Amino acid sequence: MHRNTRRIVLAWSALLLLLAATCASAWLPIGVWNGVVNLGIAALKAAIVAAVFMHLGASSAARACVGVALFVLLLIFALAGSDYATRDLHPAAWQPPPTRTMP
Amino acid sequence: MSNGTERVTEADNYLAAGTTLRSWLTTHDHKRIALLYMISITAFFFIGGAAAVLMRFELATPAGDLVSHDTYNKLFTMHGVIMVWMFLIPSIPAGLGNFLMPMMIGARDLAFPRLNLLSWYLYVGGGLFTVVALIAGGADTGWTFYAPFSTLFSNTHVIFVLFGVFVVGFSSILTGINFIVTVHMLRAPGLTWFRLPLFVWANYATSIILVLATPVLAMTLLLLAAERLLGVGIFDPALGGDPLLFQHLFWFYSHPAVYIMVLPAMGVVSEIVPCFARKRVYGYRSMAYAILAIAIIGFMVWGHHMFVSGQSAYASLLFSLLSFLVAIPSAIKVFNWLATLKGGSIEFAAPMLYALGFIGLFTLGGLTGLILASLSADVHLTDTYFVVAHFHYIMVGGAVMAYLGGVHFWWPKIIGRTYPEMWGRIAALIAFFGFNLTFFPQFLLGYAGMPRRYHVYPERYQLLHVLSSAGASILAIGYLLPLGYLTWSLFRGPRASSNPWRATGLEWTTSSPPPPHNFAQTPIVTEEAYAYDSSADPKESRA
Amino acid sequence: MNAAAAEPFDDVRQRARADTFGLWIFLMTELMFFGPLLFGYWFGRVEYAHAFAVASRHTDVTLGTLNTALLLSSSAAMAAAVAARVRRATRVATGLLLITFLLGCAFLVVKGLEYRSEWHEHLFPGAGFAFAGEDAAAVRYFYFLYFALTAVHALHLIVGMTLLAVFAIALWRGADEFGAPRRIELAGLYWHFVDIVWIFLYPLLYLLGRSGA
Repeated sequence: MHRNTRRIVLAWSALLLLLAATCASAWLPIGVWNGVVNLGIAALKAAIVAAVFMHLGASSAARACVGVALFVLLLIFALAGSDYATRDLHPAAWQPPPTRTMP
Repeated sequence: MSNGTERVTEADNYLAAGTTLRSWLTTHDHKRIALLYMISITAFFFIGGAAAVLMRFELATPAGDLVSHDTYNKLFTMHGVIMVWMFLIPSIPAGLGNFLMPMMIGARDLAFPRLNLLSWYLYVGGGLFTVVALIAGGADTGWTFYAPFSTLFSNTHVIFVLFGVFVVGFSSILTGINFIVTVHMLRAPGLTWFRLPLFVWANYATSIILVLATPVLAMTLLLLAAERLLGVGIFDPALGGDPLLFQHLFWFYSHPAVYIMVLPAMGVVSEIVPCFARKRVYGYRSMAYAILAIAIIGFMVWGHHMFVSGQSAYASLLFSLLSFLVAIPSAIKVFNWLATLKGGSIEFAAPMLYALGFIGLFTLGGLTGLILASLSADVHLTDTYFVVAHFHYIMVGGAVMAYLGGVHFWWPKIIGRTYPEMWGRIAALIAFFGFNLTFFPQFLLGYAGMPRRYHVYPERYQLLHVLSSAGASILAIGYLLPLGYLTWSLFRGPRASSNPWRATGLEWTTSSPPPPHNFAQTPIVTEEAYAYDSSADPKESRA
Repeated sequence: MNAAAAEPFDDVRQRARADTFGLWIFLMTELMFFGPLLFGYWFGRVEYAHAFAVASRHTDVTLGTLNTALLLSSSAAMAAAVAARVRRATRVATGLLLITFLLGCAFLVVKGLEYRSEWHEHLFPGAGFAFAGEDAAAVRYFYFLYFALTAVHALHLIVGMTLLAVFAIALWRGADEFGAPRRIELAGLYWHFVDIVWIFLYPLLYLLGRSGA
């Protein structure tokens, strides 16, 4: 009982500290690493919520669900991303869209 | 089990347990829900088929003399939308699967019976909404809804049709969740994973695709609607967007969708073939692994729909390679079915005719898929009738034949009556012949350069089109016949015994039709699946 | 008379595990639902890095950070509510559910304030969009994703809050079976998932380009 509450309070504190860290680090002039740090901290926060609040560690079925889904989601980024990474995009001149008569 | 009134015993079959319309519309029984699905998908099949009939009439002559350009565009759009989302995707999983999945694993129902009923209501609601959109004038974008035509230029009811599909998608997702949890948690004692019927494996893998791919479609359709309503520009190059973004997102769902349509069909074939060859499935484990491999690799090949769209050559290369890879587990399955047949004691009952038809037609469809997966060939064949023929060989020659085969195979179990076997065989042969006459000429048409989605064409293509349209009329007979004699058998067919085909599988151990809760006691499984030609081979029909 | 619904499970624990498993699968469908928006964001961020930085600097980082803190706290409150309900401290659980709900309300209020000022600045996608500065069209792309992501998230949050309200009221009225620990746990899983989505949206939408690069 008490132990459980302690775990929750500790996790909460960690989450708020990480929030402060990610916010503060955004102002550091480290170029592309800003994004890496921010997403890394976000992943860590998500892991804390998942492990401590959602008990993801206790259920292998849940971990399998998350693993498979993340893998499939990553496929969009990897394979569609491979198209965008290897294609030259030539943006057209900015224009307002045409009007149309029906929804 | 008393229900609190004068009745002491519950009905001994699920069809008789409650005869009011309300008892059907509020049922939680997976078997009744399966029947509700099968009735609705049949209705949608004939609506989508009617569109095809009009198309084939038009295409019999080179001039556009039956319908206008716009109407023709609407016909092929509505044909595609209804056949894909309202017929093919739910047909085997939600129709046959809902009935059989719990029974095949020895369960009393699916894990979430009320969610199952909600699935059906979402399906019917979305489907009806799409039909209303159709009556109001439909859409003319093709079932693929490509931007920028669908977002900027089409003056038809695109958003209505999108909404209908969006709602039907949730029906699929709920069915998928139900099946996955059911297979994991409700298997009878002794029924290990590698003792499951392959039909269960197939629907399980299909369910994984359903839950992971369909939500992507849902969001993509929402984005399309937002683009159309608000003009935000994510798919509009003039505003910094990319039309290929739509295609990537759309096909990320729609390629796995074709595996949603074909994997359950393969599952049906894997039930029918061993029964009518009186032989175990050859290579059971590799069949199960092949099902999973098709599901997984199927998520990685969608770019083969985009080879000429402007996708980068390197991405196209990658997708082409992966598309070749996904053919391997499919080929393994075909080899194993053939190996099952070899040395078997084959009976050409109607379900077996459909299953054999599947094997041949799926093989041809699959091989032509490899042709299309080759980049250099696809440059010439894409957007021609070759593609149309390819996917109809898989979807119609494959999936529809398997669905009909499954309906015939399990009809005695579902309805408790047998259909007239002679008519069953005649219809299967007519459908097979009609199908090939309809779609084989389309390979030749495509190879000769006839584009898809055109209703006006040069005269030199007319002979092949006439052959195709003639074939379509024969195919139609092949589909109308079962509608006729199966309906007849509902009322006049001879009563069926519990196992008229002497098949293995837990569903055949119950009465025909089964009692409402399937099994009085949970069965205990002690042997492998397909225990044909062994001591456990059901030699005589049980009463 | 319709046959009684078959109870497919043999015992309550098995049913509880099935419900949890089913909910996790559902949460994964939600992940895939957000997927296209996240990929669309990624496309824009890579293609229009400068415009995305400009646009992101235009969001209200104070309110965004406050909102993140509110949601993180709401997750902690929810976890505590579940723990309390599991150990049958129903009054405490009801109170914590109420706190979670109120934190969710606070989030929506802050979000509403942001939307209101963005509306006045003509940042809503559509015909009325206006942005002074170069790359206006790419900024508009960013803002479409900003509104789409936060609106879809907010809708999910509202669904979660409705669940919490229903359960809190039920427990306060003594409907202990309706508000069974198992169900509160499931509601908690959903709530935490919505929180995790926001955990990622926050840096993606609010923290780009803050270092002036």
